[in-house]
Amino acid sequence: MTGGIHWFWLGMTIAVLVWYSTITFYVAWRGAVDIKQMLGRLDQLAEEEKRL
Amino acid sequence: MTNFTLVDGGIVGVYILMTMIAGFAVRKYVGKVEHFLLAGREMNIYLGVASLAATEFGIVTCMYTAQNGYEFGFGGATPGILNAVMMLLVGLTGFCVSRLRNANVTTIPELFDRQFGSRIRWLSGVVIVLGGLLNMGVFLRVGGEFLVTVCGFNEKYLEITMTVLLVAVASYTILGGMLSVLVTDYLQFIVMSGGLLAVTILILYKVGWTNITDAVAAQHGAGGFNPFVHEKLGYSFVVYYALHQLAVVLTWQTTIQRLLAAKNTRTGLKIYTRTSFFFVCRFMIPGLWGMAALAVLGPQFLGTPDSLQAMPKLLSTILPMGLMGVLIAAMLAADMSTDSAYMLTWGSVIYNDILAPFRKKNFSEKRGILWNRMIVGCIGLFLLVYGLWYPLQGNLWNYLAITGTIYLASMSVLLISCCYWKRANSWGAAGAIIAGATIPIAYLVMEQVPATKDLAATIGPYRSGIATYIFAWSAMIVGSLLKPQPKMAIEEVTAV
Repeated sequence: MTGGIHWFWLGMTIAVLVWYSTITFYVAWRGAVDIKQMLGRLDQLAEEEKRL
Repeated sequence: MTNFTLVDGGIVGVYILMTMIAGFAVRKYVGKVEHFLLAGREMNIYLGVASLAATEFGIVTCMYTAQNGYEFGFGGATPGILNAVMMLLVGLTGFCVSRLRNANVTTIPELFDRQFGSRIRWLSGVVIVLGGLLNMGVFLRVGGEFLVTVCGFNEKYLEITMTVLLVAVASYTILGGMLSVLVTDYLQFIVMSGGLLAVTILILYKVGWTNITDAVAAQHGAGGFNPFVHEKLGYSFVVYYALHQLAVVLTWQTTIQRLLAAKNTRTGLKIYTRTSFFFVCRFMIPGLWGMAALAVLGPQFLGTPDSLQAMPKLLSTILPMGLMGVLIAAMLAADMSTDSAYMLTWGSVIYNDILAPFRKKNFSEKRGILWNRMIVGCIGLFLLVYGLWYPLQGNLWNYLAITGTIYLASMSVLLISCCYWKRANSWGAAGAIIAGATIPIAYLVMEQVPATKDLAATIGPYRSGIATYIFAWSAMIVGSLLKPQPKMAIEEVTAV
């Protein structure tokens, strides 16, 4: 029983390290795209409001 | 003697410079109050994931989760697992949060106004801000203690270091609002994550997995791996945190602000599901550092307030030059993102819900932004005074959970009732708010008064927390049933 719980926490630790490293790189890439799009959209909306 | 070298200082300096430039650069996009508070509701999934993760991990998080690891072993990470499960379930089902986002409100109390009336909106705002600011009040001191211990600085520099940090964070938050918060959160997420991962790998390499598990087994026995059998945790700990984490996911203002800033409901739900596992990391990573401190430093700090310092003490001895700078940059990133988001989020409730009844007519956008900036500035001042002078007693995580419960219990009851119970009304809402705030405050007072200190210890924070949820729900049901009201279609309340 205790051995099983040890394996559970070892598995959890490995999952944390693998998931977190992967998501860090992925979010670094996709987050930059999101920022660019968000600021572009705000610029566009400001332009449209000026025209109106 | 300081462990902080010039190389470390250079790494930290570059990070702070980049953050400040990014934070100030986006201020020009703030033209409306909605831009300031919710980034114009233009936030997409991955920026949301980065922002939510960075916001919910500060130095204070690192300290209390490490303290949990040191004090309770692996079982101390249970709240993180429960948080992840709740966030995943809510993200997959849209429970409450879909209706909240569809309603296009700026804060949760604004939604309550539609079913419970303006007085409940105001009262909810007060409870949210009270609970939130008490919760945030300890961030500065705890963060400062971490930096001073890890770097080996003289303690007399703690106040000045944290004041400079807070002024820097407040400056870009005041100017750029949510837009500055999001952009800096993104940078801070990357720096923070890199630092957390690098330090964890180094600790596992230097201390070793077997030494960590052996130390936990020797100190806590089976309870170190299973919270149900730990003498200080048990079923009440798990039940309380299941309730607490569901309430956090549904109503914690910083989380909700990201849901409301999302482009649409679907994006908001995806942010929830894709960030959910981060909450396991949030407890496991510093928890491992705390358990490594137990293995290296021994159990000398167990059961004392000094257990909070065990993890920083370990880091001060184990980190080489360069990695120390990476860690400090990561922790500063974590703290800056948390402080900025928290200042903005409580400010949004003060402006939108507490001050709303005092505005005779609607402010112009320019005036609204000015008011929001002044409110954020005032919160910064409060933090400086309260945060650096409040003497924390007992377990930090329990203090945060109890002060958070002041609003989490009642607000989660109000939100669920508002979304799914047509009969819920202002009497029930007022009863839930009073019950939800009274019990945690009474418990905090009992802990401080010598005559009731022992009784508070017997009841314990978990039973007191469970009682808060039970009483809040009971008050909502009884109060609502006592005041019959005309039927109101739920669709009208949360209309798209």
